[in-house]
Amino acid sequence: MKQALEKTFFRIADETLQRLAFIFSFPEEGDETSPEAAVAASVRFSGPFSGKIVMKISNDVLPEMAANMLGLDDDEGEPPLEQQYDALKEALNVVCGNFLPAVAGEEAVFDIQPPCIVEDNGEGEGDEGALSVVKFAVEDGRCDLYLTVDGPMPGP
Amino acid sequence: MALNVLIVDDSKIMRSMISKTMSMSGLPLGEIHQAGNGKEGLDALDDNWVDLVIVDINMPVMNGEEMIDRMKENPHTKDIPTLVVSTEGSKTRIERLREKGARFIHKPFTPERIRDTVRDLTGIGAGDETSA
Repeated sequence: MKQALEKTFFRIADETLQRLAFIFSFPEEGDETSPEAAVAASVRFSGPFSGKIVMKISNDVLPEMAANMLGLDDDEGEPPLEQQYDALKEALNVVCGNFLPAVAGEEAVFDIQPPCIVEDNGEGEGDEGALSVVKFAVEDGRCDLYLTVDGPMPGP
Repeated sequence: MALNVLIVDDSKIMRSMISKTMSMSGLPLGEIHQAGNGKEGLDALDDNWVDLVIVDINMPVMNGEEMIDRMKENPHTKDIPTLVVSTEGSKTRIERLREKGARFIHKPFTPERIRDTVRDLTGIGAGDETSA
């Protein structure tokens, strides 16, 4: 089940980054480290099961992600930090919104809270007790996703 | 006829993405108004003439479904074509929105999907082959 969950997690994140921000990702299996300089966002959800998803992305990737989402040209410069954070939160929101029905079924109803940026670059956030972790290379950096579920997760 | 659009989403970057998509769609656009939640969206409808509402579902203060319900209660706004653009994955909720007359597009969307759905929903720009 864990492998199937991770496969789904990666597929959803990959599709989201490609379609939302034109960023391509490649899985980094067996890598236990986290991106060193990163920004993290977290989103909580409740429904048939409750928990949170944390997304950490390298500082170097975030400006490009935001610029791509906004359709900015190279000569328009980097988007302001607020828009970069907004881009990360929206990408996480889309990952969460697509991931939950993929694992719980399309009839399941979840309430998804507005995503928020995690202080201290998400240091220690998500790693402990995560049910599923996917790590992948994106552009010149890294992106990690952590799924934490409150209590046991219902089976398929 | 120029289409006045109201985009309601708590994500500023998503509002910008939808606005840019609409601008590139080849549709005859008038004013594009923006709001960060359902309550602000209703206020914008009070203050402006709007031909199309594009709204997210999960938002703080007032969510998109409640905004649509309020619009349906008001004779001035009940017939405004409404397009929901959301990550919502529950068939139950999506069906409920459709029963309220709203069309639904799932995030992440393609510009073509937005353009084609808006054309279909409003009847404006139909038959125009301009690409987004």
